[in-house]
Amino acid sequence: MTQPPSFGVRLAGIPVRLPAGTALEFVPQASLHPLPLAPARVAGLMQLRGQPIVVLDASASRDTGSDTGSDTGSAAAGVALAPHDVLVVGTLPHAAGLLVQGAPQRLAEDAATLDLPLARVDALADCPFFDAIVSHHGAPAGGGEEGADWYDVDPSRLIAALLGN
Amino acid sequence: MAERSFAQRLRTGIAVLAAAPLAVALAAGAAWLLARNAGGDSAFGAVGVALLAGAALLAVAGTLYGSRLAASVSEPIARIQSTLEALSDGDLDARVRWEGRDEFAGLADALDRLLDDRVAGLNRTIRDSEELNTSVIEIMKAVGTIATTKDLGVRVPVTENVTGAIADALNLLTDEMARVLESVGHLANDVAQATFALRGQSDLAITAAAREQREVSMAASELSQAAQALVAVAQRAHQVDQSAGRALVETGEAVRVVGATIEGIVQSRELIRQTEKRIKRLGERTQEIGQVVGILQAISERTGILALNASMKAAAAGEAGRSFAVVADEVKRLSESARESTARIARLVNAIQTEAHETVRAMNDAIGQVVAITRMADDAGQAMRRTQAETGSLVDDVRQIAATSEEQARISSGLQTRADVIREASAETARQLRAQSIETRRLVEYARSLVEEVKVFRTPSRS
Repeated sequence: MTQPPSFGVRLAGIPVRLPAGTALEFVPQASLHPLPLAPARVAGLMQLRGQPIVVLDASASRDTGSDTGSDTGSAAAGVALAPHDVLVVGTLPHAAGLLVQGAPQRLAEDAATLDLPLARVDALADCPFFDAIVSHHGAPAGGGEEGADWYDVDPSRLIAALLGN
Repeated sequence: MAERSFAQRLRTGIAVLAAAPLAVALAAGAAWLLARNAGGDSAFGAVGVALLAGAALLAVAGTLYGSRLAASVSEPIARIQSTLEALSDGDLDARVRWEGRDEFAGLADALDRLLDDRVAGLNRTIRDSEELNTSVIEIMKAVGTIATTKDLGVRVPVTENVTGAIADALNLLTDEMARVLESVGHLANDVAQATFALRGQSDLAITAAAREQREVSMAASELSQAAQALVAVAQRAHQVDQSAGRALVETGEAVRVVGATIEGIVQSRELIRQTEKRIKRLGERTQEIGQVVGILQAISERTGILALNASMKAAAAGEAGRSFAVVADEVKRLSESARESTARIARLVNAIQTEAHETVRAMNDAIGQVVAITRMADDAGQAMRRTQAETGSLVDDVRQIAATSEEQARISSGLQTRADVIREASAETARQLRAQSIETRRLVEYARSLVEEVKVFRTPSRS
């Protein structure tokens, strides 16, 4: 009995691993439509097979609604934003989109689960989804980025953290 | 026949005149005798006798009167003749002294008075001659003194007679001569100095002539060398003429070769242009291939995304999606293979495009170089043609130079001959100058002698 594979993605520049069995779908260069009066981290709406999906931007600032070069946030309604890579988490119609950098990567099943080192706690203090990080993985052997650390996040807590709940 | 005196001729004439009636009487008597013998008239005979007698008387009377007349003429003439003979013998006191009342007495008296007057004049003339002789002697003494003592201060005594003017003239002459001699003395000194200077100049002229002779000899020698050099130049010019002729022919051949080269280059340029067009078309085709490759890349990427999503869906499905995950992995590998192939094709196409672009650029560079070479070849052709024209002109000039050099060689030979003549003339000039120097030295001696000779005369200023 083997474990299903897990996938990792860069979220606001942070390598994040989603738990195996999470429903995921990668939509490259998705067209986003901004929502007026939406929270700062809501990049806009996208369509996926006829269903609207809210897309969240982890790199946006909670106060200004724009950060780290993102062109989403408080853009005027009705004006399409530039295409972005989006990772849809969940199954329709209960799904949410995340702005990601690059396509997801399939990670090795034998990556060791480690506790988050204390030294990294301070570095991730400003991370908007700090509360969603549940563990830390070392560098996977033979897959993913060499020498990179992957942070296990809980999808529900991640979306809740980005929505500011 | 002795010359007869006037008295004799006069007596003879009177006798003849006296004899005329006698002859007439004799003729008449003879006529009567002839008539008587012939029985003629008696009356005529008596008249004849009378005429004969009368003629005889007349003849006697005429003879007597003629003798007396002749005596009256001949005696005074004889007296005058004897008087004149005495005078001619030196008796200045002889006179005719003929008394009478006829013309001969008057003539004798006039002659005596004339003789008195002439004798008196002769005496005066003698006195005047003595005075004149005295003056002349004095003049001769003075002149002799001047000639002996060379003293031009000696004065010739001036008399009142005609020699006074001569004495004045001689004194004036001596004065002028003294002045002239002084001038001559000065001039002789000047001549001596000038002659001395002339001798020095003559020596300098001899030195200069000797140097000139050496220079002329050197010039003749150098001119001979120049003539030989000109002959060599003429020969070399002839050789250059032949070489220039060959160069002209070779230049014409070079012009033809350059023309053929230009034609070949133009053909090559056209060929390169056609090749460039083909390569450009090849580049356009490769761009089309690139577009197709782009489509393939997009398909492979979408296939990859599709495989990724399938894989994630299969993972989310858990155990139920395991077989689907295998298919998704195969699709993923297929998409990765397709992506790698299209990437390789894209790299190849890019390489082809790059090579085509580089080739086109190289072609353009080659065309540019060919154009430059063509231009250079054109320039070379034009330069060749100009060279050909210049070579033709050069050939003409070289021929002209050759002809001129030969003419110069001939002229130089003539100049050499003239130089020899000048050298001989210079030598003759040197000889003449040496002779002139000798003559100048003699002239110096003559000038000194002239000064000494002039010093012999004492002039009033030096006295």
